[in-house]
Amino acid sequence: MSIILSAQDIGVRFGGLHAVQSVSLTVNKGEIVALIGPNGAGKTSLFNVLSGVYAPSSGAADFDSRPLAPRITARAWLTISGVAIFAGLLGALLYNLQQLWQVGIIDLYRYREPFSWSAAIQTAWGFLKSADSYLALPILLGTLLGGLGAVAVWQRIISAPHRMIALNCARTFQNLRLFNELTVLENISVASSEAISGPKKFELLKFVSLDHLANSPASSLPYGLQRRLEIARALATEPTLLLLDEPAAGMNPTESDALMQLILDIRDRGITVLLIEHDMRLVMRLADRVCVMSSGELIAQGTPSEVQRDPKVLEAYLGAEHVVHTSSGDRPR
Amino acid sequence: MAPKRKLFWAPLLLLIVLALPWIERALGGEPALTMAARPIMIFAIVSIGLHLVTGLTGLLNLGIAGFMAIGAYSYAIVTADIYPFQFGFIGGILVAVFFGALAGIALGIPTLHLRGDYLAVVTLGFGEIVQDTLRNIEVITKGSQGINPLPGPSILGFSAPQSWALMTWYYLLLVILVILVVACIALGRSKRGLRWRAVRADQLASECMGIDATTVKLQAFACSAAVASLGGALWASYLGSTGEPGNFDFQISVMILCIVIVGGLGNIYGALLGAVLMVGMNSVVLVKLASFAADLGFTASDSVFLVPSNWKYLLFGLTLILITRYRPQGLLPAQGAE
Repeated sequence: MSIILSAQDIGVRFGGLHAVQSVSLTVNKGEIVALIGPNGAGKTSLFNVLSGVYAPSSGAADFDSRPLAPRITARAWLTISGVAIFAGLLGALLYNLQQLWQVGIIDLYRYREPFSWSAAIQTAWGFLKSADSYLALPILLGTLLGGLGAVAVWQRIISAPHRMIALNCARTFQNLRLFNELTVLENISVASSEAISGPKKFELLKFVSLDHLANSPASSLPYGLQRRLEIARALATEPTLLLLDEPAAGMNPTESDALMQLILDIRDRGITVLLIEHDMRLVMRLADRVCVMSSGELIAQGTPSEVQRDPKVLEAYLGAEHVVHTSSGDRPR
Repeated sequence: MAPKRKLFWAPLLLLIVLALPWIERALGGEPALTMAARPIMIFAIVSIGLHLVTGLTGLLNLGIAGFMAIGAYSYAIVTADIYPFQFGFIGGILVAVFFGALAGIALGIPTLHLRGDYLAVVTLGFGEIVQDTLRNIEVITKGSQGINPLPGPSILGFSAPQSWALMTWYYLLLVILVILVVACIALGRSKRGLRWRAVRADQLASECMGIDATTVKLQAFACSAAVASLGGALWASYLGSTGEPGNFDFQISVMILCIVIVGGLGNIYGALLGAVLMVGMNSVVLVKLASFAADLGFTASDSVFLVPSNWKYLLFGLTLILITRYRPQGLLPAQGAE
């Protein structure tokens, strides 16, 4: 099996708090992997790294052998230096704008008479050349401001989560984040790549059984359907890896059974699924592999039955004392 | 999916608006409505600019008058005959739109990570900076005297005779307005417009769905500033002068924000309705009231409260309070905003 996601030594720090400490994780193509752990274990922080929302404090991740960390291209350098030079020139013009205007335009222009542009440019050039050495300051300041501004914008663009879609990785959120003012269909359209046609969008809505609600506002849907819509929206980006952050949260048993079937159907479409979930019934029946996190560390991974017997997992969930008194056959839930 | 009633009233309304100058001409007397329609349409154009950035993309901008000023002054500098450029009407408008867009990007870049109130404060400051800068570079902008005279509409050196100037302005503004409205509606339905609305709805979610929010915001800022700048250029050309920089002050920004909010934030028809109501109140109703009050014998020397044109800001404020209290989504709410 080929590896679709490989994360090495991922660390996330918020000031002094190590939310995630050197977690290494691989996900194979076509797998359903569940990430579980007590509250505050760092699951969502890890998810935020894998979906590009946070930059990791340490470590790196590859998606289908393409790195998560953005790279600097020659074109970016060219654009940035271009903007910097332009801003520097602007700085030179602004240094003594009023006098420049006076000698270059007003003094040379006789009302309604032809105007010699070459003379104006020569005068302006002469004016700038004869300027004192303080002229260097606005040029420097302009170059610096322009360059830094361009770097800031470029940095923002390349480090924003939207690049994850280019890596074919899409996610849903723990707290629903639909585009409430948009209709169901528009929620799909806005996320979809140009290649997805109208009928294909409807096919996708049918897949999550929302096709009859295509033109209703997303906010008008009941909670369970909003969760399904969020999954459909992520699928519209045509991911190969889907990250689901607590998809069953707040669902009743019937809804979560339907959700389980949906996730299996998604896997049958050839999409790999990595999900965070607290509903153990769902995790144990659905996942091919379970990874357990506690206090920012990955403490165990394996098949559901292996993980259920792992003493470290029992300790994390139930506390050390409890584990001592239970027989090895007991399950964490 | 398109509602039928829309298809019914839109052409009818357009027909009335198209025929208005001819009806007034046939009736004789002063064409008051045609004259009042010009500032209404210019402010409607600027309101569409604000609609793009605040209504569609959700970035609150309190410095829209600054972009109007940039448009007005760039138009003035490149067309006035006191300067050697003299690009003519269309060239001047294009230059104004270009500089407006550039200023929009220049304001957009440092404010990329700001939202809501913080962005509002920065844009408010931007409006003040533009005014003060224009006041300070007196050699170029002629300070409080303003740059004048400015040319009116002309194509390849041909302009309408004086007796047709009113009609020319009316139909020119109407054409520009219709083009802008159609373009905005097309944008709202396009993939790009959807992206803008998605960024407004939830920036993080939109980024996780592959939308480059930085580019979207800069595009929105640039488009909005370009349209507002176009409005400013038309305003200057219509008045024949830039007036002084203080004409593009915070009150103008607030008035345009009022127009957009009263009409319905996020709905282009709302911006039009708001412009008709707010500017119409100012330049038709209050003017009529003023002449009525003068007929009754009230003058400003009796009491400033008896002069209807002084009620303007009171009425703006009152309208805004009533709207936000009783109908916060505006008179014509946007889709999904109810």
